[in-house]
Amino acid sequence: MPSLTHILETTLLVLLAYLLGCSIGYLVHRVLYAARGTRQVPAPAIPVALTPTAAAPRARRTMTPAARLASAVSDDPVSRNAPVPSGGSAKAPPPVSAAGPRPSALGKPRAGGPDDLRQIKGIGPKLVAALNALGVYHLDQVASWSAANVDWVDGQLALKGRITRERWVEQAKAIVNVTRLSA
Amino acid sequence: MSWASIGFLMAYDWPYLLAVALVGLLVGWRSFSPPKV
Repeated sequence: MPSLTHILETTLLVLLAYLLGCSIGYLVHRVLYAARGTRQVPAPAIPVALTPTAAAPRARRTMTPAARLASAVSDDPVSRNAPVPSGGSAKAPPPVSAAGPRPSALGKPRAGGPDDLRQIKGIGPKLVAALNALGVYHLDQVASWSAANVDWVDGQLALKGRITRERWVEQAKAIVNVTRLSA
Repeated sequence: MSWASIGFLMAYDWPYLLAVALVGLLVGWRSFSPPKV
């Protein structure tokens, strides 16, 4: 039969191992998050096609989030939104360029007031104010963002890829779906 | 608690300690949430 001392020692060691694991897990997650968040991407090193071509959407999809951010920052929104001349040989613009990088904005919240964007994990009061300034007041607006929209907002707010990393769009879609189901 | 008894426990109970440490690692990992701006 194990002695009381043995039981106590074992319990203490188990507790110590648990606490050590907790500390290491927390610190590692924090350090990894900080390392991902502060990674700098030199914008000129990444080739970006400024004119819309048929290959552009495919290239954009295969780019890493960091490269997409760099391209969003370096892209000229005027040239991307320029209307395509109605000449015979002009191809239809790709969906990303046709929609434009800037997401649909509202001048003011709809009737009923703005949604609480802080329901999205990662958005705090300052980001709510910044998003409101961009005309984003509702969760369904965030849910409808395309990859280009995400890049544009990310560049405007200098979020360094946080929107993609924290899955704002997926979170917003989930919240909107739950709200619809419960309504 | 002496060093000898700690060594004894570590020698025979290390799989359990490792399992508990891994559980702690998971709990610690999930307890971190990114700072809200």
